[in-house]
Amino acid sequence: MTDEPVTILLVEDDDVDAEAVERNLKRLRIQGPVVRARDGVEALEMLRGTGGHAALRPPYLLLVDIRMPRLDGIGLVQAIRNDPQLARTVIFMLTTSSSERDKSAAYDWHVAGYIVKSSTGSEFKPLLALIESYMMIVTPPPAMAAAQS
Amino acid sequence: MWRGWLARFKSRPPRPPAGGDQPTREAFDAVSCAIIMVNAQGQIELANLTAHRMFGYDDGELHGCCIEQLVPLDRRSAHAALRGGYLRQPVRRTMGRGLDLKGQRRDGSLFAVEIDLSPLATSAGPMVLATVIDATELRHMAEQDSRIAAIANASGDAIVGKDLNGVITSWNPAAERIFGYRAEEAIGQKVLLLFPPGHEGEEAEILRRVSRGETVNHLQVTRVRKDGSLIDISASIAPVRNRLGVIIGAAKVARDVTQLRIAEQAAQEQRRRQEAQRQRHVEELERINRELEDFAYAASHDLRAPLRAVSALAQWIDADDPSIGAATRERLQLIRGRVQRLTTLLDDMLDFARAGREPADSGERQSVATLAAEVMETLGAAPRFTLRCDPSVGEIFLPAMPIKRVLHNLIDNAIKHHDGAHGVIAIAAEPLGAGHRFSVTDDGPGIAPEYRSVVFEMFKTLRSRDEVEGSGMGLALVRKLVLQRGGRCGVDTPPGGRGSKFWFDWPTMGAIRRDDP
Repeated sequence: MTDEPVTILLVEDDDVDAEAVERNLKRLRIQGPVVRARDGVEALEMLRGTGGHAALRPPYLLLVDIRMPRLDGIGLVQAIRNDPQLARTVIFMLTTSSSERDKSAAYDWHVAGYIVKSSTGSEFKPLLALIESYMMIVTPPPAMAAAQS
Repeated sequence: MWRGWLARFKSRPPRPPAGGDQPTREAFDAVSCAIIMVNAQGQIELANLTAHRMFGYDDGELHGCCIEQLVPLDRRSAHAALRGGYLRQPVRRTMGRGLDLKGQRRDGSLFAVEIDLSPLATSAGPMVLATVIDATELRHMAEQDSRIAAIANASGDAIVGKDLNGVITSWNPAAERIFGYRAEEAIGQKVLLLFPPGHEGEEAEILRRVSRGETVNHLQVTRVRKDGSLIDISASIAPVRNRLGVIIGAAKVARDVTQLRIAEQAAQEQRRRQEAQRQRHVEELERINRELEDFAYAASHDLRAPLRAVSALAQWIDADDPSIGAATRERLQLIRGRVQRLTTLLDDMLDFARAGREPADSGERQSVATLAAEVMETLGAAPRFTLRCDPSVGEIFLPAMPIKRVLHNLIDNAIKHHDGAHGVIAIAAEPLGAGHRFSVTDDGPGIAPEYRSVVFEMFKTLRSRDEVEGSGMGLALVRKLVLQRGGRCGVDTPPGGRGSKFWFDWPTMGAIRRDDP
């Protein structure tokens, strides 16, 4: 376990959806910073420190939507798993898609969890509470942390 | 010698025969044809035992009789005249000249005869020696032969006779037409003439089987015509036996099936094309179904995202801005309610599009009564509603899905549309064909007859959605699931006149019953 606050990288193209997540995280008083990428390409740039972005400092975890322009959520997970520097990243899918195809693809690429958000309403909060608990309880992957320190 | 023998014979009194000539006399009588000697006056001088028997007389009775006595009545005068002419110009006349001669027996009956005449000069003057055979059987056989020949001539199938060496012995007109050889070209030739190169071995096999007495039926072979073209024939080959039952050859009946085979191939090709087309249609249909499902999924997902945003924004305005009035708050609430309604509609649409795509008959079998009770629980029906299940319903065990969805929709409707403080929902089942007709009966307000056919249509609701929340997809989904199982569904008025009785057919073959071991 690390005392350093965990950064949440929210990969979400919809502003309202992004705000919904941010509002709920705020209400849960989650300590770490929340940064946002608008699609898979931007997320990779932020993770790798390319495209004018400073590389994200670990520890971090990703909340990834599936339907996005340029590079969608599944494509992003694949790219991360295929990148030796990023392969161990903790990723949650946070999506409205309940399609079997998406779920199978996501778990095939070893996501930490697949969360279906049916609305931005009150039931959204417990989902994020789960993320908070995860960050508090689960030890982040060592290689990822070690590589950067 | 013959003449001398007769002379000697004649010189003796005919009966009883002299003892010294006994062997000669016995030989004369033992001959299988009738021998009659007639003098110039037409009197029978001599007749052997066979002649007597043939014409139905006792031995010796014919001697001295007029020969015309043995001639049919209507031919007697003509015969007498002919006899005179014959004596003036006597020549040997042999049998088998195709004359339709008849003899008359003592009892008056007529029979076919063949007669051989020889003039004879004896010490007693000119005589005529007649040799007569009973031709009844011969004629019969000849008739049969000509009948068979007529059949062979008229047949559309080639009829070919061959001996055991494979040499053609007969050849009918159809054989001429089918194989192209005329009868005189074919008869005497080996039947191998008709075999395409490389097929000669077939003949040995056919002859071997026929020689054993076997009949070879419906042989499908290729033969070659005189012009060299190949034809497909269907042939049956049977052994031919002589009168002693010895196999002496074979008769082959062959039909040209070339056209038939071509037609068959065409039909097969046609069937293959139809099957391919059917397969294409099936694939096309599957593709369209997949597309439709993808479309429904994408539509519901993509339409839902902005809805969610609308709902969220309304909520945030409500939560973030303390200055707005009660009226605005109520409108924000209405926005969220409508968003919720549209979301439900989209969910139900997606559900409808997907219905039946799940693997059928999977999952644990449960009592239909238990399933209904679970639905009641899910819908929070108690304590306002009571579930009453027919005993047989508890006896029927089925995979929970998708019958539970059907029950869910029907029970949900019964509860949603009920107008009383309390209600009873009754589930019943009666055997029907390979399944049961299930019914869900409520004691609610019922459905007017004119609306009963439309309630199963998509997006149809009978009451304002502000009164009763509903997408209008529930019964459409029920109907789709029931139709997929080859059943029907409908709605009636239950006995008593109040409420609705929704029924649907469901296959229950293989349902596990409680009393099963």
